[in-house]
Amino acid sequence: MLDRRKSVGAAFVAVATASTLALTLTPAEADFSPQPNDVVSTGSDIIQNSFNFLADGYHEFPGYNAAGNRWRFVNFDSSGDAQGRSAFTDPRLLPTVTGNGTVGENGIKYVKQTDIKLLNPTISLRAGQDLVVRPSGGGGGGRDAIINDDQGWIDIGRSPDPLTPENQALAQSKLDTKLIRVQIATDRQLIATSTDSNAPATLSAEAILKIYHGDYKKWGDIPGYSGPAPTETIIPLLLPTDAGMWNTFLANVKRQNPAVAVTADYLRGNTNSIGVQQNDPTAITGLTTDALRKNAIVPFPRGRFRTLNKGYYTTTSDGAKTNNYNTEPGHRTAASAAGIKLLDADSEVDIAENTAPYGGNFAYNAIVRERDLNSTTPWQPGSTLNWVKALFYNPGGPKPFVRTPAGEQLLTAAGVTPNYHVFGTNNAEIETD
Amino acid sequence: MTTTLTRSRRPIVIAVAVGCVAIVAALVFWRVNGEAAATVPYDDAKSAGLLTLCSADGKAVTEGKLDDSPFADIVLGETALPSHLDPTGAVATLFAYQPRDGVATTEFSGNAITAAVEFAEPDEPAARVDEGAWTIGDFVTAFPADDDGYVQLRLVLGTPEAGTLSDQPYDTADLRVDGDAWELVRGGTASCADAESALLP
Repeated sequence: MLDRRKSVGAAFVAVATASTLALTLTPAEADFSPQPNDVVSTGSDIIQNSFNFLADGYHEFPGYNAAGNRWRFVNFDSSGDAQGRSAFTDPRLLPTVTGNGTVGENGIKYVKQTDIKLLNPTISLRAGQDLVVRPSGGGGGGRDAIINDDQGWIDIGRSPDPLTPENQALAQSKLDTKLIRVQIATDRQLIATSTDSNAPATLSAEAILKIYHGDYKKWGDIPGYSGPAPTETIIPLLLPTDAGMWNTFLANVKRQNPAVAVTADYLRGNTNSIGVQQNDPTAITGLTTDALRKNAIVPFPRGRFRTLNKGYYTTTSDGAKTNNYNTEPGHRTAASAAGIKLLDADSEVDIAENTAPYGGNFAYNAIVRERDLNSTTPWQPGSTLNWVKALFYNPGGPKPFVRTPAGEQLLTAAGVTPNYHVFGTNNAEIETD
Repeated sequence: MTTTLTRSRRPIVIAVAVGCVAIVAALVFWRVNGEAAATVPYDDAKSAGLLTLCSADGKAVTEGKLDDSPFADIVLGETALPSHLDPTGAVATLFAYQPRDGVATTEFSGNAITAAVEFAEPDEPAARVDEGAWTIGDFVTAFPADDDGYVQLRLVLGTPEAGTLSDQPYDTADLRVDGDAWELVRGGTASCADAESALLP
């Protein structure tokens, strides 16, 4: 496996890199703390944008909180970064090894890459309460966080994954209630390439499997390839194993290649692969040579691609400068998806065949307690609706906010497709219309 | 037989006629402006103007059933987007609020009824109410009209640059629910004939 920092040896990262990481650290945060009746969600980073839009709106589209009601809908981002990037512990505090000119530059101090750990930023989940480590990710910070939340501080778990019978049993034992899963939208993971890529117009699920496993290393290895660069090396970009989009990628490849026993290790077998952050267009555009950039592929969520093109995200000039707000015209420079494209970009339907183009839908779920759905305590003053019914699922009553024209407009603005399904405590779908 | 008024009775007839004209004029004025002049049991200091509810065929909507969907097709405001804002992409969103006795209007609970809708002219805000929007019945199910049946509508503006103008004055209309019906108690009197043109296609 190649690595961006291979020039200094697999065991080391340059001090320059360490400095960059140090400058992008996310400090322990003491931002907004919800009041007791505010509704709090934690979990998935890919889903956090749409939930933020639903709560607080986006540009001219008002979110739920724009109504000015007494109690608010509050989302905590997954990693502590609104753009979903990972933060790391301070590498300046790690043991160093001094380069000798053969390994690393002579006299320069290096740290081991494996010593650098993800930062666990902290938050106060409720006003006035002691800090906790921020629940992060759809599995651990969404589904599992609500299952383990005997404090009642987390109301909604954001997760792309369905619930299992084991999840329900655990919730029953820990919370004395089971869980309801409300799918509010669908996103789709596709393959991103550079806009001038040597890749063909579509890549089959089988080709993706064989590229990531290392069976296909050059474009010409793909049967039927008629592009301009059959002899050039394909660069599969690898998402971190703890990234939600990696799990989605693994699940999609498995589903579309049912005859192969696909595992995470199996998909990380191509020695030409490069590790990158998830959902980051600079994973491709930032590659240092045309040979890498034009031959790189990476799984990428379409919702993120679309919101990138709306200018929602900002460039951060990682490590190059701080307080961009004070120095950049308009306080920011919008990030964009310029330079990358999605293969089979307009596809909608999952096809569980290895000959079909790679692509897989994934759900934007709100996981809530059944007890909260059945609560007879109204949420907003004067209302009859509890918060689950007001926001997510109101059987037999007025549509919850996520299904109103305002809610669906916000989901569309977040780049995803409103798609409403509810799954009960037995994990079976409940008819809603 | 022809009756000729005597000279002495003519002033009485004229006075009666003038009185009748005055009464008719007053009735006409009341019919035209009656809603605007009506009072409601709350005073919203942020209400800058009145909303006119229109049907798709260009008529004013002043009453309906709770389950009418939509309860009106187009809502016309009368207060312009603040002039210091770039009007490009300006939108209006209709909200409904629940008046509560003894509670300030700023503390009313409510919900967005429509999506944000782009309107054509910055001084003529408007929103479309789609069939997917809550009915008045939906609203009072979620937020019962316990203050003598009143429901307040607010048209909140926004722009891509400035976001939702939650802190700005808004136009309002006041409905009153009775049984399975609602009526407009206080609203605007704009012409609905050309209401569709207030919205961008």
